[in-house]
Amino acid sequence: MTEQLVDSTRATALRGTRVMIVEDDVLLLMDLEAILREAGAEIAGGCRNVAEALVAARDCDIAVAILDVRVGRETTAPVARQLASRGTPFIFYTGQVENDPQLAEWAGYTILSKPARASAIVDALAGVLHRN
Amino acid sequence: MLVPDRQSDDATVRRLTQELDLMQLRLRTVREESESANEELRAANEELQSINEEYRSTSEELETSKEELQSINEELQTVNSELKLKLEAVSRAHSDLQNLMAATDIGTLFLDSDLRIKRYTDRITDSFSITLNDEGRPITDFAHQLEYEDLVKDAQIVLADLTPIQREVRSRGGRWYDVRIRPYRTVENKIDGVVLTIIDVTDWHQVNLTLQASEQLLQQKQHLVDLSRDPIFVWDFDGGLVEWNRGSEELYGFTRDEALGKRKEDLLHPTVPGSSFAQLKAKLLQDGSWAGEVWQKAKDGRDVIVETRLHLENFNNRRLVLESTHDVTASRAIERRLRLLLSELTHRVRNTLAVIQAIARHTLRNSQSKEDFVARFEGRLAALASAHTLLVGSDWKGADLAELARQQLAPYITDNPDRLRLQGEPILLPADLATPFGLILHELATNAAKYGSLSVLSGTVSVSWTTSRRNNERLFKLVWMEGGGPRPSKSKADGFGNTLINSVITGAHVEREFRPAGFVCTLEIALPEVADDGAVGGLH
Repeated sequence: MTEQLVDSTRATALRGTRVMIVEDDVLLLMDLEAILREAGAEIAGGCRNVAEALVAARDCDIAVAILDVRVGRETTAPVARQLASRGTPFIFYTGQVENDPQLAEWAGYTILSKPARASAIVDALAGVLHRN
Repeated sequence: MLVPDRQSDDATVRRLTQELDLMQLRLRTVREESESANEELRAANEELQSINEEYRSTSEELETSKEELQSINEELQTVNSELKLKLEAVSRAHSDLQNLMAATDIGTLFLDSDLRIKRYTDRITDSFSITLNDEGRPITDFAHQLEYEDLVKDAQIVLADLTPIQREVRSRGGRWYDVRIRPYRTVENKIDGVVLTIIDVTDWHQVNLTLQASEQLLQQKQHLVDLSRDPIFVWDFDGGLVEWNRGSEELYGFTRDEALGKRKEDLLHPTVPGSSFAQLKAKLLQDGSWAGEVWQKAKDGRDVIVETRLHLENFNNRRLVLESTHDVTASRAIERRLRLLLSELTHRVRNTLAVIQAIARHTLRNSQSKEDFVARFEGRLAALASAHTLLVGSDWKGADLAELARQQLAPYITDNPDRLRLQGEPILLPADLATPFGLILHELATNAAKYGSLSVLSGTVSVSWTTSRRNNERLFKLVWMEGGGPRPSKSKADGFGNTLINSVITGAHVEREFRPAGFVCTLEIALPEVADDGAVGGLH
């Protein structure tokens, strides 16, 4: 048997949506890609460092993004700023503590803590997508 | 003329001649007498005249004397008035003196050159039991209340040497007296005895003792302040530093001489996090005290973080600030590091949980049954755990590849560890590669155990690797070669390992060969440059 971790109600929540993932841990990257595909999304890019992510944010047609806050030794803040300036919605998915100073800049944005349920991830992305 | 009868006339003539003779005799006598009387008168007259002269001169002298006497009288009267005035003055002086003595409470004893009592003031009776009747008696007759055995001897010395002696002595009653013995000089500078003055200085003595005690206490406190390793200093609110202890010298590097007189702001450049030094001063003025964290600079430019307490005091028309600081630079640094570590820990834990979650989700998706899930999941979790153990053992610097390979294959080659052959120079995989690599090796090993060489006792696995440089990149090539097992076929196993390999090795080479001798997998990836402290990516 194969199990879907994204339930049927969410199976089309992100249908046709081009999603960019910024995450340096391969396993988590794989995991997110699998979940998003199950929700009908298209993976526009899975970036493991800030340089890649900036390129993808600029060049790829992205509808929504999910960003880890810390990739390698860098912070994804530049990527977030880039996306914000283009009006592209995004959420943060992070292992940082809630009151991390790096997140202070992003009060009011959706910040999801690791580990999160598949449904929570999909809901969060759908949420910011439809807010716009 | 009558002619007298001759007889009668003769008788009368005879009688008359006799009378005449007599008369003539008498006359002669008288004449002689008269002459002598005359002479006498003359003499007397002369005497009288001379007496008269004398009287006259005497009278003149008397006159002169009288004038002299008059003038003397006048003088005497003047002198008398003067004397009266002097007497009044002396009397007043005497009253003043008595009042003075009474007011100053000084016991005074006047002794003559034989040390007999001449006079004394009342106060003396506190120390000597003498009464007015005793004037004239030698002082040695009397006992005194003072613990001063040599009193009489000293008096004698003063009388002899004419130099004053002063001593502070106790009385039997426990009071303290300042005793001074001086020679008694008359106005003609003649020595006429000695004067003893006794002043009760008990209070002064007490004050002195208290003062000495205070001074000792002050010294003690001063030593304490100097012993303190913490800076304790005092500055004038409107000026420079007035006190600077050894602790200050040690922490800030400025010696006492360098610090005193300078303004604290100029020396230490204090800043208050979230505020300013000016605001600190304002608050200090308002509240009289201030406590908190201040950042300062030492003489050598070093940043110093201190916890400080300030206290404003008015002293002699100056506003002085007493300040004591405590160096917390090190502990703040430690706190900062701790916070960072905690944050780091949280991050790692959450990430690890997310990884486990990812593995669980993937395994769940691709399991054929509950038992299948459990077996796979437990296997992967164990692989993850042992990879982590290696990382922890190296303080997250990385995992030794050879050790990782041994670990991941261990469950499958317990009977004969030599079934695994490793070849390659020691290489430390960075932490973010170690975990996926561990899982990859686990997958390769699991597959080999299920379908490949490790499924038979004679089967072997050889893992070899090399590193090289190309275009400023460190390239890593690993070859997994199975042998001595059944002929391989494309496995039906889930693509976890494959997916993982593909994800890990972005922009590099993966080859899977199903050779007759055994499955061969070749990975070629670019390794990130390792940082100086051995840590890579996400570990700060």
